[in-house]
Amino acid sequence: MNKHSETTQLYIGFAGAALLTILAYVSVTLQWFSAWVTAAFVLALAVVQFLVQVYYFLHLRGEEKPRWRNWTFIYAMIMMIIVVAGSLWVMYNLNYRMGMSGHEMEQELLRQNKKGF
Amino acid sequence: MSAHVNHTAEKQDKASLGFWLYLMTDIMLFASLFASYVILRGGTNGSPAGGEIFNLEMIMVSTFLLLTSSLTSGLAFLALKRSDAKRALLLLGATITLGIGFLTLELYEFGELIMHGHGPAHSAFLSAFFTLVGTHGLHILVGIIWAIALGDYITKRGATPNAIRKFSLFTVFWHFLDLVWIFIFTIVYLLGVIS
Repeated sequence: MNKHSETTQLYIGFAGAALLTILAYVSVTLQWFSAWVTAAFVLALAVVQFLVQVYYFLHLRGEEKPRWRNWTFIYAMIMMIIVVAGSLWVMYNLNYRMGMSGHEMEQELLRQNKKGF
Repeated sequence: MSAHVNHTAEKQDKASLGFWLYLMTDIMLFASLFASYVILRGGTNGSPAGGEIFNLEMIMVSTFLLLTSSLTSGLAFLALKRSDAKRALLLLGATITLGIGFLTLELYEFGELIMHGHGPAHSAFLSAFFTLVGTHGLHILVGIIWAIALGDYITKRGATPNAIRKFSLFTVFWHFLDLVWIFIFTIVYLLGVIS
């Protein structure tokens, strides 16, 4: 890869990231969609921008075997998803169970008992 | 001569892989801070939620300061690889200036929040917010100090293979901090304003 194209790639990455940032910002301030759709939209834009920056800024591609960087990166991403999604799941469950009134808790325990182990 | 070149290449390879592995552990640090933040963001202890205390226009400015500095750090590295030390230093200076600008805005934001009674001790939400954003800011501070040290190194010794090796690690670090910022910008600020 020659030097000219490396420079061009940095500019492409910058333009892409800038565009995605502005799009996310405008969709929130101008309230294009309902709250839930906007939330999903900006999260999707964040993931796209993440991929754009990984590709054009970090150059995480075309690595020679045994591709340590790629594999450790994928491993870290998987662990990250487990940590974040797992924490949210556990805490949601905890909130759900701790937030019940005495009567609701009794019904819930009866339901659980019926299911058995 | 060729043995020397091979040795340098091997050193470069080991150093950059080692540094890369450090960044992967840093991902785990930020993952846990993000998880804590998302869980605790509802715990505002009766004070206004994020959307009412965040200044989104200012955050947009700091986002662009950081994004531009990511670009200039990459351009500086390419200039250094072309042995253009003068241009590399100029672009590194731009990176440092933009980084300091970003950090100044962040400190101003923190100061404003604390002055209005939204300090980190007030609620679980604010503790998680200051920890997450502050940890990123601390990384930026370390990056700025590193960049200044690199600038000094290049001024004294020019675009040597060692300088290029050191600089490549810094660029990766700086790009990485911009990657983390995408998610702080989206999850903390944009989602905070939506709900």
